[in-house]
Amino acid sequence: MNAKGERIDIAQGTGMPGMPGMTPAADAESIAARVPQIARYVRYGGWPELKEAMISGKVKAAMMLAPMVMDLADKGVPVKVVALGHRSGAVIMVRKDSPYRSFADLKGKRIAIPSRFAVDHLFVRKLMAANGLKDGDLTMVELSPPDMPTALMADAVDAYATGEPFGAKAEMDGYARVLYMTRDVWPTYICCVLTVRQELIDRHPETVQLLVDHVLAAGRWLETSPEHRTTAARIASHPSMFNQAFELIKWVMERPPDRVTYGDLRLMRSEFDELMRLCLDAKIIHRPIEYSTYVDERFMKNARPVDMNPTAP
Amino acid sequence: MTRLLSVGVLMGLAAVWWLAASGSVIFPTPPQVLRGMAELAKNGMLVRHVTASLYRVTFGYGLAVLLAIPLGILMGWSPTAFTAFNPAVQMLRPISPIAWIPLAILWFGVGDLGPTFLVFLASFFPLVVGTTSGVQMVGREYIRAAQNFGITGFKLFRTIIVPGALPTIITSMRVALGVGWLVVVAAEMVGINSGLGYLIIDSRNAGMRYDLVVAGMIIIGTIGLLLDVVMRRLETLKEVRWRFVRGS
Repeated sequence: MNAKGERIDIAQGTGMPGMPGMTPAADAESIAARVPQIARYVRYGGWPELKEAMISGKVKAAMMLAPMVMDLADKGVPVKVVALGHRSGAVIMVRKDSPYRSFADLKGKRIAIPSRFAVDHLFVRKLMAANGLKDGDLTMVELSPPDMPTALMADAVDAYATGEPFGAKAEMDGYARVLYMTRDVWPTYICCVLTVRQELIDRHPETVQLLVDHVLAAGRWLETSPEHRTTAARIASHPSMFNQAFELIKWVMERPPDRVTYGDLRLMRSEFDELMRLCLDAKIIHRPIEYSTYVDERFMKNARPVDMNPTAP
Repeated sequence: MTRLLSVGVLMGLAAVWWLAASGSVIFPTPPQVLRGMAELAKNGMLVRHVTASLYRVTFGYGLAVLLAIPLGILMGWSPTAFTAFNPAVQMLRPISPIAWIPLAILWFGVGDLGPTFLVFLASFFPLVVGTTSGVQMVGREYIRAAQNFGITGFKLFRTIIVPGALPTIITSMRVALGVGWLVVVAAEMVGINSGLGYLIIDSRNAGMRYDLVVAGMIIIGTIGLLLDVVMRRLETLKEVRWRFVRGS
């Protein structure tokens, strides 16, 4: 609830690296008692559903994919990025018994991506460029992330690119290994960003500020101690949150600790411009989009520290 | 005159749609959708998606017809077969093809086989159930009469059971084709990049291409209508006309 008693829903799609986004808010009583309540957390089954809820204005704040926000803002949907959700957090997985050691080895093979509009697609394209692979050297198959581990196990694809925890899932089950993590080749990788609707900024800037302050505080809290990551995994594994196994989220949080990072959630024009150029190159967007169209930096600039010490249920 | 009536209803629906969509951010208006369709037609995607979906539905449905009708006839004719298979059929029947997606990937990988399998599953069960009840409903009086004339065994089956059940079988073939076409969106979620279902999913993933989402819906609907018109022609065959009192 914000100061005026209006409820803000903060939404998040499948996948989990956008953890700070959920930390300030929760649905179930057991979690609600342990984390600060400034918004209600709602999990969506997929990105399109979340996007549609944002476009229609039913949801005022969401952890969304950065390219999606660029495109929506460019098409006139009143949405703005106010903070990052996390950095890194995507992986390229291959079977443990496969001979692939570098991305170049995947030439002529099949790799699964969540969708051609996903940031993971950009990650794959960046690796292609770095390893001398051209368009057509890889067959990209679009699969929903939860289906990717099965597809790899069944040899239906040779590799897959996705956000966590769907990489860790196959790794934990013992038949897959990580070929690349974004932290190794693209540590500033941006995927989920805290996005709010313009009317929320106009009518309740103090609420947006509170959200940003808490997202930053949650990020710092996650980076200050390994125990905090375990606590976060415990909170996030709750059925009302990510509904994933605690061990799986713990794996993502700790192996290694910088698999997904939350310490640096600054908005950098140069990074977004690079992302925008990659989107253009991948035909996710069809014309350059100016940074100020889709980013509002003021809340990040005015951010104030917030004390937080959530405990696990 | 009746034709005009159906055109009028469609036009009325389009008008209501236009009114409802005006001023909406997500819901496109009819002209926007027509422009989207024109774009698809121009860049060749329309033909590509329609062909891909028709191909998968043809094979999935065709296979279902080949396997479900014999099984249905067997279940309708033999009480033992009915007792044996019916619980399994009724248990598998209500499961949505979406739930089968992980297994489809596991068994058939990514490509055309997975979606074809899902269409097959969707049309198989209505066909089995329809055929079974078609055979079970063949009038006892016809069977008794035939037996009085000394017709038994395979001849009874060929001259009485099959013709008697055919009208119901044809109706269930119509229903099953509709269901097969209905699941094409779900079926094409399985690692492929063509088909009308994929067009809808891909356009939803794209930023703001809801014109193509609705275009995909309308194309699926129109092809569904055409397929039904073709299937209804089967009901005019002289072998089954005795059952369908009203002309189509």
